[in-house]
Amino acid sequence: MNKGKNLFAASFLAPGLIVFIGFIIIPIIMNFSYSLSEWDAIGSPEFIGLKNYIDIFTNDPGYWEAAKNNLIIVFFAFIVQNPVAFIIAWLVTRIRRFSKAYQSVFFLPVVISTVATATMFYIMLNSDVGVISKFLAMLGIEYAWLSDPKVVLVSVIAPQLWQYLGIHFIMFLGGIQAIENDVLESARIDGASTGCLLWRIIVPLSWPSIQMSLIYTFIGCLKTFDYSYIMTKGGPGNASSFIATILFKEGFMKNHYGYATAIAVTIFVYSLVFTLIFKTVTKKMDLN
Amino acid sequence: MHKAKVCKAAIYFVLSILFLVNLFPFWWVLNTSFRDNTAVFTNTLGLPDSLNFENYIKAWDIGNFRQYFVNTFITVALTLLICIIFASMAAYVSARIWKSVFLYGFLSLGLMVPTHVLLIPEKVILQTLNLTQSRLGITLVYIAVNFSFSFFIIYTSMLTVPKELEEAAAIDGASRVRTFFTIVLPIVKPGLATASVMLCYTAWNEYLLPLCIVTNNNLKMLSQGLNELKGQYGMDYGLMTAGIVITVIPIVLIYTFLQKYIVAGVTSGAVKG
Repeated sequence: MNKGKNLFAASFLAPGLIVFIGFIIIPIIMNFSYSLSEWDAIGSPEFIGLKNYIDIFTNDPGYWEAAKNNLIIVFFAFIVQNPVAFIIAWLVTRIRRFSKAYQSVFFLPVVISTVATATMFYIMLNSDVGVISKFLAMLGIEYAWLSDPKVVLVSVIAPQLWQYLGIHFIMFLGGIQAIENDVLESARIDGASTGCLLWRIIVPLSWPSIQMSLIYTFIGCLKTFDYSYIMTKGGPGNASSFIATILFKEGFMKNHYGYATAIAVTIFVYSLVFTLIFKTVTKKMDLN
Repeated sequence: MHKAKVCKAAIYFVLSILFLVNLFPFWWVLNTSFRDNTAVFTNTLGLPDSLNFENYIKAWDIGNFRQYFVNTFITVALTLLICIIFASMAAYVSARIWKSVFLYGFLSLGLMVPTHVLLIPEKVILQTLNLTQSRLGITLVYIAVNFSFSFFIIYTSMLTVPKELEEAAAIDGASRVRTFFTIVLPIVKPGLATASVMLCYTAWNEYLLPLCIVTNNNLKMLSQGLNELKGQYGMDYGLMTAGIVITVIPIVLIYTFLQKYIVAGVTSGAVKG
């Protein structure tokens, strides 16, 4: 009987396992292996140890300019996008009518292809005839949004934060709605003001959703590529590039496979380290 | 009490403004897609004179969107079918037969891994297997990339299948395969639905992945096609917005009817790597 069970399990597991190992596990190993070699897509990889990584950390100002941009988008996501999403979620929990309609519209941008939204903003930010440029110009804010190095980063970051606000909104909505009404009621009866209620009770009690949002934000911002590539190709220079942009340029435009895979590894490591540190810190906090 | 009413009104007001501001870009794109480009440049916000589909026809033919749409549709459909079947089979084994934490962890590894780490290796693998110009090769990569997430979602659903049902089926003489298809799968339908909708949405919208592994013009996806349209017709706003609408319509349709599955998938806690 057991043999039949094991045979069945093995054959049911096999198809998925084979595709998974062949196209996920093996590529991961390949990536690490290539990152330790010099390979420009011609001939075969030549082992050079950690030289690619050393070059990244000592010899590549473009990478660090891009990394700085990643930090900038993370920063604005944390202090603008997420709090705004939280407040909107909280407002939606305070009303009864049209709630579903608001939710649908706030979440809608999330499901739209990034190429579609990036192209949309590319058109709308066109210096001469773009709807948004013209509107801002009316308010006295006039810039070459897609070519002036001083503002390209804004042009590339703002639309993304707009698009993904909906995800955090939904997460926070779930987190706030999970708070039991009794807790809120008794606080109100005790005379808590709205601000106090929000800050002292709702925020701490929606902590699980805030955690999910923070991890999602950091890892998402770490991987960002589409918007800058589509709107400005990362330029001018590297002004609106992100680490993934550098990866693409090195790996798929210059064919520096070895170097590019090393960059990919840095992205992977950053996300692992962040998740590890975050989980450790929050575990300590939860215990308190 | 009066204060509470004013508060409520203010909240509705703020939410409504945000609602309209959020919808504005979509309205503008849709509106512009029906207009003649010269009209767009004279008055950005004007309504079209008539419901004219010229831009859509142009995008479909000259812009090659017909090919891109078909490519994306076939790839996503094949990926959906194969990935969901493979993932549910693996989830069944993992949740109900070989209940090892290592197996579960191993198959979920894909959740932690950013696609960026797979780009160059996939390209090399496809070149080695001589599959770069084949839909099969591209679909295999898509399946793999969506596997862990589908597995994770369906696995969670699998845990809710009552053991008694499987045992009863075994006693009744049903083969394991039949039990899987006729008893287990129907019970995990919500998980299947969430995994399927999420897969459609992610796979349809993929950009970086096809950008790196699909170089044959006849196999390119809508996302690539839209960006390339910009190269030649970037200033033809009517055409560009029509392209955007074509790219976006299937997902908006899925969203309209199946929103709850996307929300469930996004809040499942499986931060997609």
